[in-house]
Amino acid sequence: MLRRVYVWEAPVRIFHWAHVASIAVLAFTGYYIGDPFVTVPDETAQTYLMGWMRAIHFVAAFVFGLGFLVRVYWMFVGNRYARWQDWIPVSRERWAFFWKQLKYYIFLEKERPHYMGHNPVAGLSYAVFGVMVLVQGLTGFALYAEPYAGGFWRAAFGWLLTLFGNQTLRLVHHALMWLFAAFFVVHLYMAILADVEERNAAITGIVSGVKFDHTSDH
Amino acid sequence: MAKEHIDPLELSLTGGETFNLVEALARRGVSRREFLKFCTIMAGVLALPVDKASRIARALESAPRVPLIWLELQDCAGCTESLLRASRPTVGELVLDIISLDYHETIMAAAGKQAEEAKAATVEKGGHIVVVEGSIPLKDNGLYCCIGGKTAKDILFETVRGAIAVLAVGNCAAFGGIPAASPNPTDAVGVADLVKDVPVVNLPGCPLNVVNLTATVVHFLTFGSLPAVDHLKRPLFAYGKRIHDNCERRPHFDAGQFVEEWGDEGHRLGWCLYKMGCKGPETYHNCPTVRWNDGTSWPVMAGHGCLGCSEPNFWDTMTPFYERLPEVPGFGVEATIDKIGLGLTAVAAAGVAAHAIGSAVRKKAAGASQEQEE
Repeated sequence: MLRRVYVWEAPVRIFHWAHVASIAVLAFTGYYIGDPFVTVPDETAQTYLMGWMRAIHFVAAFVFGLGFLVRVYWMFVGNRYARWQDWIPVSRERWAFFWKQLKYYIFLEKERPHYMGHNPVAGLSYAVFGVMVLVQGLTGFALYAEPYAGGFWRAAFGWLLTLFGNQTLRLVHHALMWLFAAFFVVHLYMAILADVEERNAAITGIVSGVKFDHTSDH
Repeated sequence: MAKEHIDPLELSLTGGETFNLVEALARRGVSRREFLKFCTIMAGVLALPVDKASRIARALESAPRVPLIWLELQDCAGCTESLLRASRPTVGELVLDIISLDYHETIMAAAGKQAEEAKAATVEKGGHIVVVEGSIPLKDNGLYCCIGGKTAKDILFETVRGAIAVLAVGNCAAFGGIPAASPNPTDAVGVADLVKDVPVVNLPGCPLNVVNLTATVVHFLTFGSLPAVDHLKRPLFAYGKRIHDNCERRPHFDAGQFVEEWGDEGHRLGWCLYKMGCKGPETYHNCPTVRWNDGTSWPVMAGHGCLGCSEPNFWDTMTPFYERLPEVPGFGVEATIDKIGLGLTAVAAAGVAAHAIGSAVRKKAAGASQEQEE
């Protein structure tokens, strides 16, 4: 008997796709800002390529940052699948499942464990992802604050410039972009794998919010 | 800052003496017109409204002579060279009329015991300004820089006693500079790391731009206070804006027009030096507006990127000077962050592909065993 379960609430789904879009835009524009691979030979007054790249990067950065804040808020008020306990395994039971799932992934376990929300390994990877977002956001907004000698941005993020210096911040900001790229490859594969092996609509679930539950079959 | 507002009257009582500047300048063939031009330029450098020029003029006309001691510690005399390039006022006028340079090892006539005595006499009276050039080595009791048998640290503490302010000029005096670059063999530090009871103003740069030193002194003589400073004790009038934001090549940056290699078409057209490792976007200094050597030119104007010489530890933090990003610690010189990152993503893709094959094999095996059971 197949049961339809409403797993991903609207804020979770909106956050997910806002992050997909903003990360894609941020990675592309950010790479250009770090290494402007196109030079425009036209009249200087007629072109504004770096200007637009930066403007778009900043707009996407606000989507990225706001999405993160909304998702963190939803970790405390959302349904059981959105809660922070789904990301960070605190209970002994969840840890046991974590090892079971990990063993399955590295071919030491035959049966794939079933979960409605995040499986414990995926959940923990999203906690790591959250830290990546936080570091990327902090370094990014610190660099954003750089032109200002005072004011809000300098007060909020200027301490990072004082602490680490511009060069280190840019290196970390740039390196993390590649970590996001590697994360994307693994994340996409894992979602497809879950969808195929569990037949639980993991892929369409993040659009519709609904996943399938087969556990009542057995 | 403890002594924000110092009454010029108090100054005159504690050692300065009032004299007629206009007369003194006239004696040296400097016209009033020249003098007013100088006051206007100073108002511009200090980012004051243009009508403040007359206030500067009035203040300088009646200003007391402030005795000034210039210390050279662990330095290369590059900032002194920069001082000698001052044209408004020429260094002679600066020395003789506006300030009273009582001690400067490189340009004073006195030597040896006499010179040291003159310095001691000035310190004794108090109310003086100390300019420090060069860093202070602390390792092995500071023996790596000794002058007249005294360590740089002892000389510094002796000289700043009773001083109104200390102006740390150049990156060495401000932050330790090149002597403090890794591995900092002499344990060199800047003035503000040691001097806590006298207000310190940092005027970094490699070398110092003398326009900013003159403007700081003029600010002091006009308003009786030191200029407002940032969190690194640098005056905001000179270090409040990034090179990048006032750069004449900025339109080429925004347009996406970059020099790719030295001497290429873009370089000849004066395009942006961002890809050549210019550190203008992370350096706070007024080079684009005041320029160097009497407003002749400055590095970016001359076609070379900014090295970030007014920032703390620039020799370590701004290198490599000709690359945008620093090297990745633990990887070779050739491995840029992009090569490493692309490699990581490729490894992730390969791992995923291998796992997909493994999963397919597992499913097939599971299917086969299920069939057997049936």
